Amino acid sequence: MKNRIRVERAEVRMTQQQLADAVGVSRQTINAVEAGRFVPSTVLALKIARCFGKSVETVFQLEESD
Amino acid sequence: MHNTWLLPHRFQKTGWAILIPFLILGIIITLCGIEPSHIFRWLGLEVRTGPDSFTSNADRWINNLIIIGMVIGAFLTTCSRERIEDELTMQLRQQSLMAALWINYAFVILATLFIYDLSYVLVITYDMLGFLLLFLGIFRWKLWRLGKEVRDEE
Repeated sequence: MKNRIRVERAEVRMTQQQLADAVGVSRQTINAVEAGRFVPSTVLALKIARCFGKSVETVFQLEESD
Repeated sequence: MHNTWLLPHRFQKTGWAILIPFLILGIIITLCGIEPSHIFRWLGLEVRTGPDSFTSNADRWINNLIIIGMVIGAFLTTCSRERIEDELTMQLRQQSLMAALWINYAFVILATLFIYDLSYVLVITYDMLGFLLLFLGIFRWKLWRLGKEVRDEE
């Protein structure tokens, strides 16, 4: 699964720590999600998308291999 | 997240404070072949011994104390939440538990095949803590590597 979290954060000038605090996880988790090393749960994905005011499908996309 | 099987984070420091000294004592006694009561005398603590004394088996009691201290310390450290316990931490915890399970029982099988008599009993006795310490080591290493990846990106 790929995501646009880094792009969305840049658009709203939000740091990883600020996003982590907003959704209630550690900065390491946000970093791991951005890098594709960790697939977030549905709840976390919805929270992240809500932070940016976007839909989940806008922020996260399935890849061919998924 | 609701983690009903994890203790609050404050127990982790208590766990380390108990585990480290008892682990060091246990290693010293095991590797150097020192009697436990000698260590306490070296620290200036008098240990009464004698056939009529409640502490006539001082070494046995001290051994028990050290083992129980290590178990309690390791248990508190293992079963305490991280400062931020989120789903990634839970996943790492689960992976570390499984890895420790595989490694520990592979070791038990190998020990059963290649070690016999009293040595086998001693090895299996020391292995009481093996699973907990393995999990601690693997989990801490995974958390450190996670933190390193974040620091490398900065």
